[in-house]
Amino acid sequence: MKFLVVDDSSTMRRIIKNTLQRIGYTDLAEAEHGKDALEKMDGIDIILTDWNMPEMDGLEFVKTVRTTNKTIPILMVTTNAAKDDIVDALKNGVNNYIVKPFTPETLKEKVESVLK
Amino acid sequence: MDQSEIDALLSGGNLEEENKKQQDIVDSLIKPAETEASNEIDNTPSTEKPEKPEKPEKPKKKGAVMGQLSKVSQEAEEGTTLVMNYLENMLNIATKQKEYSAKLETELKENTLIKSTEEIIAYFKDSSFLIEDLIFNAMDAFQFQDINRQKLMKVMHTLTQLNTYLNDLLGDDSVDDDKPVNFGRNIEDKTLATDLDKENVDDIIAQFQNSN
Ligand SMILES: [Mg+2]
Repeated sequence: MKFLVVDDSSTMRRIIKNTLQRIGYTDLAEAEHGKDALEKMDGIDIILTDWNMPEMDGLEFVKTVRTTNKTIPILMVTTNAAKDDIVDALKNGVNNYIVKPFTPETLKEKVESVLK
Repeated sequence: MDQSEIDALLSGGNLEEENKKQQDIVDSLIKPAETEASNEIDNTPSTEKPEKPEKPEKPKKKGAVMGQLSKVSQEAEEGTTLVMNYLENMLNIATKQKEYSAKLETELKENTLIKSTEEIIAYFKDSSFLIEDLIFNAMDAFQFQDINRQKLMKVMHTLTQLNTYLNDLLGDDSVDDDKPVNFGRNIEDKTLATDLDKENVDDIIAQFQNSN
């Protein structure tokens, strides 16, 4: 199970990666923004992406991925907590949604729910 | 969203009104730049004669405020990276402690066990689990960095817009272009409480899934 963690904050990428490792997922790739992530999609089984990023934001990235891949699980991990944002993300193909700051339990629960 | 808004949403309350209120605050913050963007400042005649604004003294260094804020944002990221490095090293040590204590336990069981040795091993084992938990908690606490960074970017963005507006008004064209905008909507209201929105998010997802 290979994860792609996309976030412009290196600190957030490390927090997410450490949490994933702790719950048993060790095959992890990372990207700084949507454009970077599109180049690292080879062999990826699940995506965890931030929303607010330079170059290409998370929503644009999700839209682009969904034009060619309808099935890969995508989890949005973001500070955006407005209902409109959550619905917008879901409409564009996000499978589940985590609002920062989150606890490791929530990340575990959400990852497991999209992998089911 | 705070808890009261989540409760309001769950009981079918007027969330849109709350969101609109937040948006109005944001709009009021960026209004001057939007006015400037419409390019109507020079052409629109004023109905009342305003007092001529006094041009502020030119700062010694261009972009001094921006430079400082940018530096704060950068330094916070660097500082956090450093602490994360230390924590990751500690985590590796704790993980190794766990491995060694398990090995020691297995080896000792094959020989005669001394009571005090058992106690020491038990403590050693428990404490390494505790250290590991503490380190993970400390790492998770650094999520504040991403939120603070976005808040700083929002301030920088607002100041840039204000700067553009003022310079346009005063006839100075030496303004840098906007940096890419990558902070969250309503980021200025974001608190550092964890999972504040989780129930609400789950509820919205459930509603969305049911309607599709
Ligand atoms: Mg971001």
